[in-house]
Amino acid sequence: MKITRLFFMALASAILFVSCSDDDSNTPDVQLGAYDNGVIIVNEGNGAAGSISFITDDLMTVNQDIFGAVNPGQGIGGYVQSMFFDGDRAFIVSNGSNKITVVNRYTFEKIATIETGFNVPRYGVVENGKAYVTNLGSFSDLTDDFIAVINLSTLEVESTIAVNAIAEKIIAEDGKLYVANGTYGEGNSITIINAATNAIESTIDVGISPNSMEEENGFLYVLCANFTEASRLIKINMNTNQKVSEVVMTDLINAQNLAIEDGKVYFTINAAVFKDNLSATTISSTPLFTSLATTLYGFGVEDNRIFVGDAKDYASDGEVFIYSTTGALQKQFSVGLIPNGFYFND
Amino acid sequence: MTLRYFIFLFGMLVCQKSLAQTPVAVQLDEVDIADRKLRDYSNAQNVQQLNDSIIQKNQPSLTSLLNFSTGIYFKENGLGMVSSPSFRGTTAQQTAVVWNGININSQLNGQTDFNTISTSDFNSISVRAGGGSSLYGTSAIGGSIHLNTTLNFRKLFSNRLNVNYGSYNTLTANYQVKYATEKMSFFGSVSRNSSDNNYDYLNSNRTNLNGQFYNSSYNVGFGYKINSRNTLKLYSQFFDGERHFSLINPTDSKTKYRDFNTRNLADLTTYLGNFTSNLKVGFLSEEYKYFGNIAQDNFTFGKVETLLAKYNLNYRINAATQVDFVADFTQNKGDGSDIATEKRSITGFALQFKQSVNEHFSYDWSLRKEVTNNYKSPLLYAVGTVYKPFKWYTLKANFSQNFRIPTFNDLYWQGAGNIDLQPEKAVQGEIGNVFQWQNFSITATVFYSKIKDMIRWLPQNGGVFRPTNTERVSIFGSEISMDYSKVVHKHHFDFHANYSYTDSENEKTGKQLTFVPFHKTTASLAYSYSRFAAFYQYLFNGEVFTQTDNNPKKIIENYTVSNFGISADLDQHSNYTLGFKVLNLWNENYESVENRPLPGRNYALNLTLNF
Repeated sequence: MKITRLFFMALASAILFVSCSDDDSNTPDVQLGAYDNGVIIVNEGNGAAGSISFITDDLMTVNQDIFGAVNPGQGIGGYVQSMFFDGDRAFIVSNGSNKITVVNRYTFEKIATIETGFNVPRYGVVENGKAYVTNLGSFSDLTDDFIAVINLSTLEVESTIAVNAIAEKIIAEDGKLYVANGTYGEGNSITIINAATNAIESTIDVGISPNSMEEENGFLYVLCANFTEASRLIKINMNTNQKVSEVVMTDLINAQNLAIEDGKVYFTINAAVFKDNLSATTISSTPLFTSLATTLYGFGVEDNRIFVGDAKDYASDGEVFIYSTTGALQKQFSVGLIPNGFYFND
Repeated sequence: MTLRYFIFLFGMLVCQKSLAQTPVAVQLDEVDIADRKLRDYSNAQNVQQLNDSIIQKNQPSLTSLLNFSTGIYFKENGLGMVSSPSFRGTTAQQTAVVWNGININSQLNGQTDFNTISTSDFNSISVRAGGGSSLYGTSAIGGSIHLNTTLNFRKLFSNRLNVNYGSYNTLTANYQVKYATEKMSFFGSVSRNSSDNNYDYLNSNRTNLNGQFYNSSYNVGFGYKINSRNTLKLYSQFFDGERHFSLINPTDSKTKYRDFNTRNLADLTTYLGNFTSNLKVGFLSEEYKYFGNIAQDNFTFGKVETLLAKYNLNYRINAATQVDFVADFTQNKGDGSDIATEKRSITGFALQFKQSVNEHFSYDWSLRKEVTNNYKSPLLYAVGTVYKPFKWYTLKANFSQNFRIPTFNDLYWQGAGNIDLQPEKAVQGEIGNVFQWQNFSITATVFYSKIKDMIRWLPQNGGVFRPTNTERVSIFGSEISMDYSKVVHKHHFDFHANYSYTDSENEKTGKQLTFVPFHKTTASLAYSYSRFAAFYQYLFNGEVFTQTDNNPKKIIENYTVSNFGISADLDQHSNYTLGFKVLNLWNENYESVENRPLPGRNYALNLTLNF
């Protein structure tokens, strides 16, 4: 272990040195750290600890618990929900421990932790020089959710924004924050916040619970679903804050995990993966393929690969299945407990 | 040997004994327990009785008592926090806790939190290994724990005050009073336990945060012989406690949990020649409140009220043969922030038979069938035989079918409950050998059981967990226990040891169940001389898997913990006894759940007043 640690430290300092003296950050061949050029997997874990796994771009190797390997004796908290980025920094959000761990996204060396100002933090985004993190608050109160605003230089929560609805997924575009007010079939709107003033600009009714969102060419695509009704894909014009169109997916109940890649829309129902044209006005109820996951939990599409995270029985090591965009299995890896999300260093 | 013999003769000296064969019941003993079935229909199984003196030696939680004296494994989320047993490789819901003959496992989650029973309120606690559903109903699969209020019908008046103070500002106090004549008997006990529970984690700069708890409880029993034919007994118990749940990571949200349980039972026994008629009427309530963040006032809650009536007719065919007929009715009314308000009624019929064929051979069998709209109840049965070819050797064998019914949470959890659930069913068999010489005995038992339709909450579409009858488990194991006592020139020695091996395997995956150790050993040695007494307790828990894939990196390491205590009577009549205990004597750094360290070496001072 010690040798690995020394190796990482040596590597990390070499890279720091290299990147400091190199102003051109677009140089494609410079490896910015041991965990550049690959897929970062967030393993939710249990109340005690989550972990981060890493798969190299060539799909040849997997590293488990990379944070623990680089920062021995330290943890990222329990129930690790998600991760977001600010330049070279990654912010790892632990909702069980009310904590964000800030690391270098390429070396995974710890930079800082933010431990005050959260109450069950969920997802975050960077905009306008600040980070915005949604907080669930009390589980039994759906209107106490808020956004914690983090000063990116001091790494402290400097203010909060009350959302007065569920606050889960969040994305930012052109100075505006889009907060999905949905979880587990509850909630039915999107809150739009002006990041400059922290003021709620408008609230868009999307009918049923929004569970995932993507921005594409000035439009916000929102996947909405609950446990009984036909799922819907809603398109919102981000300039006018108006709903532009809505595709009701008859026969498709509880669609989750919206991803948009190369003009195609992807989502999942149970272990099945669906794909259609983003411009389609009806969406086929036949899946592209059914993954091998027992419990499809994490999902992502990037660079012509579909990533499926299998939480299995939530009490065993998870599995990651990597498919081509036509659904051919390319590779599979054992990862940590409950893989819930994929992030990409390229 | 009768129960009476144990309680009176052995007194302070004996830690624990296996109940050997008991004769067919005779009319009301001087010492009376409400749970007659424990005495009459348990001969073919191992029943370990923990008497007053062993109860007093341990910390006043059922976890601590049983952890150091039985093969039951405990998973404890830090000292005093939620504690779940695994008895003979089964799950936490497959151990029944029985108070004066009444099953008191939670109707909400199907288990008893062993840190919400204050042991100092009971002067007799018995551990019955193996299946018992045909007598005690749901959950008696791995075994059952019996909390009994014993009543003496002979002139007696005694008071005892016991106060403990120890590390982490831990205070435990108990007051017991017994008053009895030939006609009536009263037993009362009141307890209070509290602790800051802010121990330092060993080899770490961290402290147990937000672990403080307190609880108050009472347990009373009253018996009255109305006339030569009728005896009325009333029992009541109450527990009110609040625990803050200790944090895993210092920045976790602080939570707390409140328990409020009441149990009341009236029991009328009528003797009519060879018939004994017994009617019990009971009312139980359980309620919890969970505060997900103590900074906020929000809480979730659940409560269940239970009304029960039980009629038992016992007929002694002759001195060696008896039969019992039982009819009972139970109604549970559940309500909570997360469950639908529902009522459940269960009617049960049972038949029990026991015969001592001769002095060497006896057998018993029992049947029970429940009728309810909720689930299809299997025929519950048990057959047991006891063969004693020699004075020093007894062979016991039994076979039984047992079950665990779905709980209110399983059935009615909003948006997730599954009203089509069926009970978990378990068949099991065991063979026990008891070797007994004067003051030395060894018991060796092998058991096998197969459990099917195990209820598990599994993720469904969208990540919502719902319960289903899915898993099958087969369990194989063995238990060896040993007792030895010796008196040499007023020096009294008493030794007890127990080893258990448990292989509990998910049939589909072939993996050992999580939090079931293959090996567990306990041992205790008690010594006394004149006014002085000392004891040493030893516990070894083998490693357990925390993940169902048995990932060898995800384990709880084995641990060895020992306690030591000394005490001295300050006067000749044992009116004042002063004691001192060192818990975790060797300062073992251990935990029974990952990232939930248990305390290192700590101390307690004890004062007992008898008046």
